[in-house]
Formats: sequence, structure tokens, C-alpha cells
Amino acid sequence: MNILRFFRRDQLHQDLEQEMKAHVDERVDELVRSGVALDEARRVAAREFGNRTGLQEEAREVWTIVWFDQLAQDIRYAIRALRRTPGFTIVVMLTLALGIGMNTAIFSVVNAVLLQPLPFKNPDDLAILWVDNKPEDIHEDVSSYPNFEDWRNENTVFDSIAAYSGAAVTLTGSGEPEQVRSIATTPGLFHTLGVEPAQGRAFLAEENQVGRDQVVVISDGLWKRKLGGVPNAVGQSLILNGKPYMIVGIMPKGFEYPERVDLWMPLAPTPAYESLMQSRGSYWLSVIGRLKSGVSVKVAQSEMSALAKRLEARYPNFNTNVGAYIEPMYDEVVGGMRPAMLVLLGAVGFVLLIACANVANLILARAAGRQRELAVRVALGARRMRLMRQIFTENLLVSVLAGIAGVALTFIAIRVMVLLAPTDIPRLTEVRVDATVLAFTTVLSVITGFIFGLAPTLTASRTAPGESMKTGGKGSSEGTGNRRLRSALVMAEIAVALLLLVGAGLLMRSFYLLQSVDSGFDPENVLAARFTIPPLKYPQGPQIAGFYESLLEHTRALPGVVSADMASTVLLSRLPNSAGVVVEDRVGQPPDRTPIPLDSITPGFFNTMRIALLRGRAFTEQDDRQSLPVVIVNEAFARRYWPGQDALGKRLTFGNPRSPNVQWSSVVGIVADVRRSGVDQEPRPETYFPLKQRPVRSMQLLVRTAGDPALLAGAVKNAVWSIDKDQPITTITTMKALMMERVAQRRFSMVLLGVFAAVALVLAMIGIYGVMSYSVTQRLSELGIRIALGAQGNDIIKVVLGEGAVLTAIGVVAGIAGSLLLTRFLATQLFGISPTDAVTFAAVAIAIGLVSLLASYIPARRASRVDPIRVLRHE
Amino acid sequence: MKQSSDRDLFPGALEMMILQTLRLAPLHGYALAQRIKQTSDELLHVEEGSLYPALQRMLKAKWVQAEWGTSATNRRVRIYKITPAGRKQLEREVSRFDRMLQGILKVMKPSMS
Repeated sequence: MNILRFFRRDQLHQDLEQEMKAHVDERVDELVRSGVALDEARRVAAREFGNRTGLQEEAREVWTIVWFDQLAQDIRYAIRALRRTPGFTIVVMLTLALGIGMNTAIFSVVNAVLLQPLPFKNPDDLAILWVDNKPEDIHEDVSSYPNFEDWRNENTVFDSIAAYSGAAVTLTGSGEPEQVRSIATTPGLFHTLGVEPAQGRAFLAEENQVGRDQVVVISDGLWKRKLGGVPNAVGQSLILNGKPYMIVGIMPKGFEYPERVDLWMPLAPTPAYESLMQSRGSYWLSVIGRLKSGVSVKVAQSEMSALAKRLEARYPNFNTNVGAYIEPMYDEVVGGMRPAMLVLLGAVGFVLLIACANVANLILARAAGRQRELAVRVALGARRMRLMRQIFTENLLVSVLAGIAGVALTFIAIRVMVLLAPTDIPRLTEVRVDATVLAFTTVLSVITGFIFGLAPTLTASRTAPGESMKTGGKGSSEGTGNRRLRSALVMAEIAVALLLLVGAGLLMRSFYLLQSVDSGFDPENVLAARFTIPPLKYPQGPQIAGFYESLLEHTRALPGVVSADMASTVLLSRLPNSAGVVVEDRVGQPPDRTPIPLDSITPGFFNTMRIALLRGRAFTEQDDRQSLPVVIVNEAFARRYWPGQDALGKRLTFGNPRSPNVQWSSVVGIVADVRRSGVDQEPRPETYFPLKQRPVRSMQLLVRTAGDPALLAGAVKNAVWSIDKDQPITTITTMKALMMERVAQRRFSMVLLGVFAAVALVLAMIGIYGVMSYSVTQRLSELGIRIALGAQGNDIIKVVLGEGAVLTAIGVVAGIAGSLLLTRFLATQLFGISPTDAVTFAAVAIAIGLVSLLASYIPARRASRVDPIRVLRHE
Repeated sequence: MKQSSDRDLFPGALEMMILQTLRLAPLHGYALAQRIKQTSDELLHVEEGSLYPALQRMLKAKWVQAEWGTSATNRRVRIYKITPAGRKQLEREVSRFDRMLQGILKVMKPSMS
């Protein structure tokens, strides 16, 4: 078959050569036999045979697959041409690789976070069942256990539902005591999600009963970390909260639902949970469900709302105005990220546009420069189509190579992004370069190659050969159309670079404003260690207080410690302990259900955290169980509940005012507002109690240090363990680190956008430089004449700069117009600054203007130094 | 690369003559060249080498097939043999040639029609 013969081409060549040689040799022999001398014979034979090389080629050509051969030739030619101008090749490849690489990297992230389905079976069928808690104005609230049971038993729209809640689990017995992120769950959680354990099994229904519940399923990570990944881990025991639990299953790698959970245990009515599980008014369970096939979220919503209404009628004391809200799981996991991701995608798309514009410019410039060469070749008989194809192949080749380089760049970029990204960007672990992404890149590079291949080849092939050779220039016959196109491209580049810079600038200013908002306390040099002490070891208040006193004593004695105190609410956490408060003055009125945070603190807390005490006094060691119950409130609280009055001496309670044992606390002090949940939120009313009067098991130890707080982490840990070696420390970190984490997402967006803007600016500057430089080269003769006629260097510079300035000005104006239109999409990410902030716009416009002028100045100076004689001689 | 000699054969003539020669017996390249020269009484001078591209074309069209063998002088050569398709092609070419010849004669010597 012809195809086969094609691949045995070498063999074919050899055969032909051999055959022809044999032929000639035969003739030589014959001639020699008839008496001719050897040399003469050879000459005659060769002449009679003909042009062996030409004939060989002709014979070979019979077999070529024409288009393939031509393509191979085109590619070889393209490679040669590209190697001749390495500057051009490298710049184009780098530019495109950067554009394509960054685009692909961001697209991979967006793909994994937004586009890919969740890693569960049929994830579109999964939904979260929230309680719509209208009385407390919480639209997405967790549920109570009896409520969950009713939902489970009476719904007709879910295949299965399960409920879970975080559990405090301490793992001891192997290495440091460790707080393991765990949840207790009703049966069927794994079944609902559609994920099977990789080893062992999931829970059985009976394991949710007391006595059968000392079993756990662990994560792949925990198995590897704490058990060394040994093969027969299933069946082994772990000591959790002092009791042995048997491992019955190990989940597959990467499964950590709901959020970095390492351990799942059955929810059983043990003493710890029993009363909770019976209380209809206690909300603490997250509920998820798998919709029956064919049932939409809308249908499920209306059914569950109807069910909630029935429950309302049945339990008027608890369920009045309590509804149900069904949310697709995808929305909950991903929803918040969408705007940020889309902004990034848009930004990087723009960078690619600029890169493409730059490349287009370079290619056009090159094409213009080769007009003479092309004209000559056409005159020598090259077919136009073939020429076009060659140039086209050249550009396509560069694009493809750049695409490959871009993919390599993508791997690096993704690695870096995943490392630096804040941990709360969901699904970041799922980011990978997969088939979709590679297809995307390939298409992208081919398309760019196409576009750039096409435009210049069309213009190049259209020139009549005679013309370009006449004017004897390296393309000084360049049409104005070409020139205008390239100027337009540069102006577009500047506009887009401006847009990106404005976006990045807005984000940066916003970030800075965020940082400078006074948080109400001083987080510098503070170490925060969080732990929870178990009820078994410390059953009553006195034992708890004893532990804390020992701990504070030890800690305060450490070198480098300025002061140490404790508080129960974690500053900067999202969920402070809260409850409904009743103010004595308002007993008769309807209760205010807004949850108010209550904090249990040691007396020196305000001092340690540098929170200002505005009126009254702080707590002392004398405020204990035997003395008057006291409370300190913040400004916001005083403003809200005692507007215009003196809060000192007023009383409040978190208990039930009608009960005979109610404890009223008197306000003894007012402190400044603290932004607990992050500086981008309004301060809420808050209350503080002395730890001795309100002991709490879950506390944060706050240590103000003289030097770097991180250095004392080890010493603090040892202090804790010297008192109780089995006490796990949930987390220990510096307050600064906590604050950074809160803004991590913003910072991430900002940094990324900043990088893009910087790249865009560099590319745009290269673009301007290229265009101006080329323009100067084009006009060398004209400039030479001017100089010869007496123009000074400065005049020349002015002329060239003038050109550059015009380009820049138009680009800047276009950029500003575009930015005014587009920055509104950033609005959700901004804090304290409008998307059309004049200062930012002005600053960026000036910056770009200056840099552009600089980029034009360099070729301008070159122009002014032109030696007129040399230039004119070239003509 | 076209041949430009003043004893140009019309396209297809060479192939026709090769087929005719091979019809009688399979031959290798050199022998084929010699036979054509002899049979034409030296009236035709074909560049010997131009046989080979023609032979390749005919191999591609499957009018001949080739086999490696040894020549009378003990050289390794390729021996070409006409195929049934080649014979048919030969008939077609011959009749075409005839018609053409008749046409030309009529024009050149009208009295001989």
C-alpha cells in the first residue's frame, strides 16, 4: 500500500540508488568489453544515463504523499527562519507562554473550584437542610435532634438524610495528646454522600445505641499520620477521650467531609449527648440529604416547608415560625467563591489579550520587514499559496511551542498558587491539570496561532513584488493599514494594562484600609493557645479554676512573658458563645432574642489585650463565687440597652428572669468595642464575666510576650503538660497569624491581581517599545535627512516622544473609560473604597503615562543619535 | 522537474513502450533499456535513466510488479514484470495512440485518408 511504502522511504531510496548504480555499472562493463578505456567508459555511461540525482528525486517523488512532505519541508524551513531571528522567537514564545500559562493555571483553579462537580456520587442530588429560624433571624440554622427525627420520618422527598455535629475528641496514647477534628453522626452519612470506606465498613444502624457506639471510622490522613498506614488498622483500637474505640473503617484518600474531618463516630444518647438529643429547642446538628431521583430542590423545598408548618402546629412552644430551607450542597460549598474566581478569570483573560496583541505586533513587524525577501521569492517563481502556507506554519509553530511552554508554566504556577492560597478556598486540593484544561490550552494556542498566522500572511502575500523592491527598503513600503493596525494594538494594550492596574490598585487600597481599621485590641506579640478541658477529669467549678490558676502561674513565670490571661471566646473566631440576654429594666417587655456573646475572662484580660477600660473598674481576684455577681459590658452594649443612661450599676441576666434562682449580674465597668469577628464587621454588643463566677471548659490562653510570640509556643505547651500531661491543645498560634488568616482570601485575590497587572504592564511597555523602535527604524532615512538639514537631537526626540505620547494618551483614555465600566464587578471585594475611586485612577494613569514615555524615550534617543551620512548611504 | 530534450516523447509514450517490451518477457532495468534501443533501431534516444521514474510510476499504478533477482552478470537487480492490469493498460494506450496517429496523418496528408 502506498502508506506503507511511504514509511519505508529510506529503503526505497537505497533501492533506487542501488538499481541505478547497477545499471550504470552494467553499461560501463559492456563498453569496456567492447574495448573502451575505463575512464571513457564511465563518462559515456554517465552521460547516457542522465542526471542521476534529478532522476532519483523524480523517481522518489512518485511515492511522496505530497502534503505531508510539503508540511515537513515547511516546518523545517520555519525552524530555520525562527532560528535566524532568535530575539523575535524568544520574545514571542515567552509572551505567549506567559499568557497561555497563566490562563491555564487560573482556569484549572476555576475548573476545580467552580466547574467540576463535588466529589460525591450524583452530587446534584445532595442538599443541605437548614432550619429557617425566623425568630432569631438566622436563615441557615442548624437543627435540633427531635426536629431532625421528624424530618427524617415524615419527609417524602429524600432518599436518605443524616445529621452530624462537631465532637470534641482527644486522642491520647500515641505521642502528643491530639485534638482530632471529629464529627458525631447519625447512621447513613456515608450512604447519603455516596462514598464507601476504602477499608472496612461504614457504621451499622445499631451502632448509634449506647454500648454499641464505641466504634469509629477514620480518615486516610489520620491512618497514615497516627497509625503509620499499617495494613491491618481496621480492628485496632484508639484511645479517645480516655476510652477505647475500635476502628471499623478507613475512608478513601481525600475524603474529609465536612471540612478537614479526620474521624467520624456514631451519635448515641450517651450522658454527653442524651439531654441534647431530647431537647427540641437546642439547635446543634447539621443536616444533609440526598434527594430522590427526579425530585427537584424546588419541590423538596415546598414539601419541607409544609412539613415544618405541621411541626409548628404540633409543637407551638418550640417551632413557632421555624421553617426549613433546602439549599443545594454545591451552592453552600462553592457559592461564596464565585465572584472572586470570575474576577480572576476575567483578569487573566485580559492579560492573554495583551500578550496576543504584543505577539501580533511583533509578527506584523517581522512580516513587514520581510516583504523584500518575499517579493524576491515571488519573482523567482514561488507560488503565493505556498509562501503563505510557509509563513502560516511558522507562526503556528511558534504558537504551539509557546503552548507547550505555557503548560509547563501552568504546572509551576498551580503548585505555587496552591501553596500560597488561603486554606479556606474550597476544593483547592482538587486542582489539577486535567484533560479539560489541556484541551483548553491546546485550543487557545492553536487559535492564537491561527489568528496571527493569518493576518500578516494575507498582507504579506498581497504586495506586488516589483513595488517593494523598488523602494528598496526593509519594507518602507509598509502600507498605512498595517501601521494603523499596530498602533491600534498598542493603544489597546495600554488600555487593558490600565484596567488591570486600576483593579489591582483598588484591591490594594481596600486591603490597606482594612488593615488600618482599629480592631480595638493589640494583637502584636500575643500568643493564643486554645484548649478544652474534659469534664471527667475536672467535673466541677473548683477543679476547673484550680487548673487555670496553676496554668496562669506557670505561664506568667516563663521568661519573656509580659502578661498572661484567659478568655473563653476566641477573638477573631466566627462563632462566639452567645445567648439571649435580659436587661433588668426591660423585664416586662418582649424578650430580645438577639444572641449576645458572653465571655468568661480572668481579671487581667483587658490589660493583656490592651483593650481600653472606659468607665468603672475591671474585675479583680475578689470577684468570685462568694461575692456579688458582676459583669462588664462594651460600649455597643451600653448604647443599645441603656441609651443615654449610665450603664454602671445596671443589672442583666442570661437566665430566665421569672425563675426564682435567677442570677442578676451588676455592671461594674464599660470597655471599648472590640471587632471580634474581623475588622470588616460592625462591633456587636458584648458582655464579659469573671472566670471564677462563670467557669468554662473551653478557653483561650493569651500570652503577651516581650519578643516574638512564636518562640514561646513550646514553653507554653510544656507548661500545660506539666500540669496535665494528657491535656490536648487544640491550637496554638500567634494572634497576628490568626488575623492574617482572616484576610487571607482577600490578600490572595489582591496578590494575584497585582501579579497580573504587573505582567500586563511589562507586556504593554514591551509593546510600546517595539512599536516605537520599529517606527524609528522605518524612518531612519527621513530622520537622517532631518538631522542633515539641521534638526537638533532634542527635536528628533520630541518628534518620536510626541508620537509615543499620542499613542499613550489615547490608550489611557480608552483604559479609563473601560475601567469605569468594568470595575463595578470588583465591588463585592472592596472595603471602604468605591470602584470609581478617583485617586486610584489618577495614580495609575500617571504611572502608565510615565512608564510609556520612558519606553518611547529609549528609541527616541537612538533616533537622535543617528548619523545621517551612514543612513543615507544605506539607501 | 521536466525533461527538456529535443527528442521529447509525448507523455505516456515511454510507459507504452516499456509495457510492450515487458509483455514479451520480464526484464531488469538495464536489459529493458537495451531492448528498447535495439527494437527501435536507434531511432529513439531515451535517456536511460528516465526509465526509472517511469518504472516507479508504473509500479505505483500497479501496471508492473518488481522482484529482486540476479542478472546475467551476477549483479543484484530488480526484475520487472507486466501485470494483467498492465496488459489492459497497454491495450488502451495502443488504441489511443492509433487513433491519434490516424488523426495526425489525416491532417498532414489529406490525400491518404
